[in-house]
Amino acid sequence: MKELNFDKRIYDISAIKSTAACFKDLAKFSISQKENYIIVKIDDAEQEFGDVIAGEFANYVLALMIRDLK
Amino acid sequence: MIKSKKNKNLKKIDLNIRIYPLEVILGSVYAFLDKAFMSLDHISSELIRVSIEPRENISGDRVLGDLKNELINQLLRNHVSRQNQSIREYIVASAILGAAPKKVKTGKVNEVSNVKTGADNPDLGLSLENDKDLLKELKKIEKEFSITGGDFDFKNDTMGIAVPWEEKFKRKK
Repeated sequence: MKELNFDKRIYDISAIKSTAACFKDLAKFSISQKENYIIVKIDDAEQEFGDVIAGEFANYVLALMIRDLK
Repeated sequence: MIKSKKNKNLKKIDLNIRIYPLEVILGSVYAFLDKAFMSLDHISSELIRVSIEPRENISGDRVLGDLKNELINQLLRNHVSRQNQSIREYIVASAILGAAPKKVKTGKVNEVSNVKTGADNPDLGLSLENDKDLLKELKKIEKEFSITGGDFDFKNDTMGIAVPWEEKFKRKK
């Protein structure tokens, strides 16, 4: 299992939810909130994406946020 | 932020948001999403930590150096964009106003629904009486037309413009 902590002051929850929806076929995602963080847990990731899925997820969230900013 | 195996190539840089606003940091980070996995974290009220985990066969130092340059680039773009904001708004506003019918310009918005379209409508500023140059050109054409007896002489093709390409460059057997 992999865990990602997104700072609420920087990251947008809607971008995180959209990313989870886009990645839904690659793994199981659960989103929760704790204090200043949005926590994304990644389970059962497909083997070939196992090493990179967390990084790709975080990058995708950033890309969506920047797209909305423009 | 990403809890993963320790990567020797992992680089971190702390940026003060008073110097580099969040939009500048986001804009800079965006340029490197294809070269590294990027994540941001608040480490204090004024500091944002950018963690850079380069993809395979890419140097972390290189990405970090390029990111520093990109931050300056984005900062300047942001600065220029803010400086020119009022000018840009003015240009767009005057372009929209210039394209609007005269009655809109004078503020009589209610009369716009009665506006006709086409060159015959003086409200649109397209009336022939107002356009002296166009009138002049029309008179010139009219004059030319009367000299040729009401029929332009297109049949006398002295320059061979009307000759088809196939005929002009036909290979001799």
